[in-house]
Amino acid sequence: MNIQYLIYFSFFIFLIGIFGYIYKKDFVSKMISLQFILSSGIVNFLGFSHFVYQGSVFDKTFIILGLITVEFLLFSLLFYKYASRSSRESSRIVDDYSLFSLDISDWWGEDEPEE
Amino acid sequence: MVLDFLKTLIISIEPFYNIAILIATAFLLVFFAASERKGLRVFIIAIALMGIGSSLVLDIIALSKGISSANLLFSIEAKGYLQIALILFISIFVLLFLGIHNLERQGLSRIVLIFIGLLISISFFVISRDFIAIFVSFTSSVLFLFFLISSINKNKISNPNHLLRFFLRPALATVIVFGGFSFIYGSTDFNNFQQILESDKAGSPFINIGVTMFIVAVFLALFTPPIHNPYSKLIKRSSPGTESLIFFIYFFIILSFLHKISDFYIPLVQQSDILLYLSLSASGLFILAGNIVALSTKSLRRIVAFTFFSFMGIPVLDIFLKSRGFFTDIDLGLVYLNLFLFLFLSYMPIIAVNTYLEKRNGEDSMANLKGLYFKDPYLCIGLVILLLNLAGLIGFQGFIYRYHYARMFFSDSGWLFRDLPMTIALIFISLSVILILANAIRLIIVLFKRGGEVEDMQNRSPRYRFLYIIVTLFILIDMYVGITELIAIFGGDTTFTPVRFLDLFIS
Repeated sequence: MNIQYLIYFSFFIFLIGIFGYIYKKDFVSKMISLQFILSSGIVNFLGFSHFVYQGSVFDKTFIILGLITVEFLLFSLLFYKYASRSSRESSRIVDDYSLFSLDISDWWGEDEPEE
Repeated sequence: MVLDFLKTLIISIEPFYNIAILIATAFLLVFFAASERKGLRVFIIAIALMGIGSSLVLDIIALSKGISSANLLFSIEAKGYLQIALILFISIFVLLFLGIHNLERQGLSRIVLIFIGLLISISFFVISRDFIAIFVSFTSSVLFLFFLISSINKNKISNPNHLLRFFLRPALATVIVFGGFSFIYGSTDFNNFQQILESDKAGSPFINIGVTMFIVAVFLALFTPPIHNPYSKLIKRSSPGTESLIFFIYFFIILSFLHKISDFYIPLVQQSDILLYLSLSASGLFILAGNIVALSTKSLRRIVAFTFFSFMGIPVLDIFLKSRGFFTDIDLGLVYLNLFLFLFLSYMPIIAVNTYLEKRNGEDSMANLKGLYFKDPYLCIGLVILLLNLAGLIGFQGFIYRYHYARMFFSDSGWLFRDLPMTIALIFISLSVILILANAIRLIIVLFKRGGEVEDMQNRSPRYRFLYIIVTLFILIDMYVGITELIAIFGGDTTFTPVRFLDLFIS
């Protein structure tokens, strides 16, 4: 095991996260993809700390404080998603959180709000 | 003993009095946050405004005294004070706007408290220098903004998914920034950007990977076309106040982050032709997409939102120009501050007028403006001036803002038509002016058309008085900047120019 394999592994996890975020449309899949991208960052931090900067405390501090804030943000989004959902909405509105959607109203004409 | 302790405490927080006032305001508001009595809501807004105003005054005093300070986590100097002063100045009006349009709603106290929390986060973000402080304050700012916008839109937005789709984007950006910091840490064991710049590791591969991830995160968070769908959907469906928060606070946070990493991405863009042309293309996309969508729609909200969106192409274009040596002696942070001040002074009154008309008429359409000249000539003329100021009317701030670019292009340095990319940059800047002017003229024509019911708009509601005050005040500020700078351009007295005031503060 050396730092090179760890970087390849973290890059692989990062790609899984990016692919999942772009390809998947539903909210939970997007959250999981974000966790994959976060995990790749954590692997990087700990890998560099172990192989390059032995005894470093900065990375652990960054991970703890950074993760607390980011996870709180993601949890808030998740909580909002399920707290604002009603039974009427769940049957009517399709969860579509695509990164890119070709909607003609984004470029031309009107964007009529839903009733 | 207590006095000694207080004295030590005051000395220890010396450069951060402005933030301390905000924290004290938030602490005071906590005691009132649970109350829902109407009289208390006005009191809470007044307390918050006084707190923000005091913080602004202390910030300006610190700037004028030239106080600077640096420790492990934070570093504050003239530029930082200016950024905080700008955001506090903007916040006063945004909070007033929020208060006036949400006075009747439950939970206003909580909204004001979250707003103060947002300002504290942004202030810490501006002055932070340590990677941990930068990341935590950046994420906290996004978090507070999410709390604020979701509170304002509680039970008001037709589909909360649009709000989530919007905030998933800065969440993704935050997570990518986390990954970027991991690579920057891996390249060095340093804790802040200053240490990296002073070392010989500034251009190392891991640093470049980290900075590239930061740039990708910024472009995602700015909703670069063609992935601007969530921005478009949220603006159309949100309740009053959301637009001003997204325009003047959200984009300010993202551009502040862009400025923090500017010492790294500028050399990177200089070395890489791909990044150079990407930044040029992205700026063109912003400018063209924003203006074309604005021209194609009759919804006032979308016109305002997308013309504002088109201006986000200018900071992206500044990346390209700075990397080509266009702004050699000018700090990019000051260029961004200038842009934000211009956008705030132009768009805040327009948003106020649009919101009022939309509430009055019950729909979001250009038809709301029809015949405004015959119903309220003062407001109509004010709106005409503001729209033309956006396009660069001579004698107002919009012209001065464009003039600085034109002066550099037509100077003896030979930037005009130097090569194809610079020519394209000049075309984009010109297109921005022309298309904004086209949008402005389109709206002005509607203002002078006869039509709609003849109704008495001279009612005395607080919202209407607020409109008059905002429109008049902002036109006067725009005019002051425009005329004094114009006099300075023609070689006249520069004593009263805003730049001279700035020099007095910074020197």
